[in-house]
Amino acid sequence: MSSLTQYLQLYEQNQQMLCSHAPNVLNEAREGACKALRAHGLPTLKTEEYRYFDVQKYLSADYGLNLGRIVSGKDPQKQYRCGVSGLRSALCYVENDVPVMCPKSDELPHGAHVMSLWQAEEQYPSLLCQYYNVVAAQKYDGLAALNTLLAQDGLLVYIEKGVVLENPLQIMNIASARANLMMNRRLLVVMEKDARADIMLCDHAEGTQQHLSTQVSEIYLGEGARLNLYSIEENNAQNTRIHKLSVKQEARSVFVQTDITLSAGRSRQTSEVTLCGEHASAVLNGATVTSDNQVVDNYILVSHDACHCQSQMLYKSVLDGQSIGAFAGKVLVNAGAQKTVSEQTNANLCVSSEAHAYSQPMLEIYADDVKCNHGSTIGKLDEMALFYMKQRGIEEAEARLLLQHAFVNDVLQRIEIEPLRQRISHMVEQRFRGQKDEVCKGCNLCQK
Amino acid sequence: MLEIKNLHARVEGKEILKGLNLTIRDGEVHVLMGPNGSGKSTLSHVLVGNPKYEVTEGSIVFNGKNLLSLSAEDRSHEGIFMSFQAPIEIPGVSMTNFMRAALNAKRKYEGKEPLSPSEFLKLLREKRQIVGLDAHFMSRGVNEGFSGGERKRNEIFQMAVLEPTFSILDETDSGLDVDALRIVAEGFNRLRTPQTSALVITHYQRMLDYLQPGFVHVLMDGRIVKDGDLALGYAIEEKGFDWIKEQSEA
Ligand SMILES: Nc1ncnc2c1ncn2[C@@H]1O[C@H](COP(=O)(O)OP(=O)(O)O)[C@@H](O)[C@H]1O
Ligand SMILES: [Mg+2]
Repeated sequence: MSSLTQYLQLYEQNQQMLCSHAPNVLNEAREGACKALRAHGLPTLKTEEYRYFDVQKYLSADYGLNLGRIVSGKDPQKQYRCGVSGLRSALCYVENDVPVMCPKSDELPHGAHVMSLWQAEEQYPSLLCQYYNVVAAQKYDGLAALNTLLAQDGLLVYIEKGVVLENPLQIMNIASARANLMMNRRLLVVMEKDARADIMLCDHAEGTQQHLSTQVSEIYLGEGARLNLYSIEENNAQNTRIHKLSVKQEARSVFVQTDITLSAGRSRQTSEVTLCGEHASAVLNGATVTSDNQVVDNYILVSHDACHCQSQMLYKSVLDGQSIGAFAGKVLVNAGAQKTVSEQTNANLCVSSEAHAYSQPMLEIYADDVKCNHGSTIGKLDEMALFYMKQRGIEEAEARLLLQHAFVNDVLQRIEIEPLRQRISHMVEQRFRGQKDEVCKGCNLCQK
Repeated sequence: MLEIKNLHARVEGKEILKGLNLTIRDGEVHVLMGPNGSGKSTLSHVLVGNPKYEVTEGSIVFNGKNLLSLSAEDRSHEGIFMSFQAPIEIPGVSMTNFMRAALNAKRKYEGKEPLSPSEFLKLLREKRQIVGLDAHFMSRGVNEGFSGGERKRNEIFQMAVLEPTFSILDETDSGLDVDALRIVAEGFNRLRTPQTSALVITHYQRMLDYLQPGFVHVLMDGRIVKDGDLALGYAIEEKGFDWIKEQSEA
């Protein structure tokens, strides 16, 4: 039985239970997803965008679903101290795929709202209808469709016109189920004109069970809105994570993504950004560290649909062990998107002979007055630099650490929030040292 | 301090050193001269344990220890320092982090605690002054965007921080203008003590003037073909190497 048949059967057999525990807007999207899945299926290794991510294999395990929305009932704040020292943030917890805690209204400025989609359906039904599964379904993606088929809840972040979130919102996705579980998460961010926010999206898996998480995030940035999104993944070897991010940007809006993958089992990140309004800008930075048998696959598509927009990509990976790191970045400049400025860099450092990096920068241009650059490299540790350091007495392991950290450092330096930059830099260093903070069973974000 | 006997070494399968003997005692500065390609840098790299250079025969004893059995790191911890003919650029690793790692590794080897951040910064400041290296170099990547002269000064700065007992200066003077050469040579002289020794590879009379070495050796085709004192150095500066070649072939 193919993975797809397995999931479709699961859906059909449990449709009633699934729907009775989910908001209507989510239920209404299921039929469309089901039809699309039947028609187009899940990606295979022959699907152009998924050549290095074996969806069929990773999805074939027998995962359960938390259809009854059972939660542990434990206070997440006591269990997971996820704050970053020196940084005030509004915390939000998602246990497996159930939002269990949202910031209280006094933690957020007037006009900023963070809630589950269940609550959103009560409070902002028309907003939800207007935006849920719109940009994510614009172009068929089997994994996003699978998520839409099965998702039962998620989060809404709604920031009204001109409202500025002073402190970052930190969303903690925690996979803690003591059984093999598939989690289907949703995030919907709607930022109106000139709204501003920083969002940290942390993914963390614990325990020894197999976890599969699919997440679809949809982000709408109104005119002049600005969002800094930091995604930090610290998952374990048994975890498979699939994240599809779709961003739609109006004029003069700014989207900055910093995607840090510290540890993963198998991780696929798809980011699709559409620049619809003039003078919009998208900056996508990523640093990935892999080892052992980890697989991290980044696929990015930035589509320039309007004039005078800018996009920038800087992705760096350090690969150890037998890990695989794939990067495909495509900049599409549509007809009429004159004065586009775009720059794309992907650099990979393979520190073991068995690690594999695949890099595929792509440019597709249908406008004539544009400035687009792209570059990609795959290299090894510089032997002469290693020797120079050893001559100065620096031990091999420390020398390697310094070189690897330096390699991703320019990505880390772009993190605008100072305490977060320091913290992540420290986490990256710990990762290269092979050390983990035992306090939170593998997550290193908070200070001990 | 250092005793090299019948040293043979290969690089990329080609024999470069062909039976080299050299003894250096505490407090001595030896100058090594020789035509390009004669193996001077090869000898330096062999001494500091560059894995690209393979020793096929002979022995090197450093302060009673078999040097060839030590890793490059431990040779450094034992007090050997090489100023590279072509210092390496390490983008993204700041000079400060680089020096901290180097100094702490050495202190750990000696059973000492790491320096406190303020002690460390004070030390860097002191040592920078020896070669007139500005503070801003410390926050830059190692040799990243440094000019030729700055790189050489940086080598002597690192030497000053690590306080080796035996230093190898591989053409630290070449490519420097008169002022930079003086800074480097005077910096080096300030670091000399009766307990420290050095092997200095140079082609320049000015360097001989500054260092006043007690010993000068000539390396040709992988062997030391002539030993002497400062007078030999000046003779080479004046007449080149051909006359020595003729002598040694005769
Ligand atoms: N890393 C290396 N790889 C290949 N050949 C080398 C290397 N280092 C030195 N050699 C060769 O060894 C010989 C001696 O070089 P070197 O020791 O650098 O001479 P010198 O420093 O006296 O000018 C030369 O023929 C040079 O080409
Ligand atoms: Mg040389």
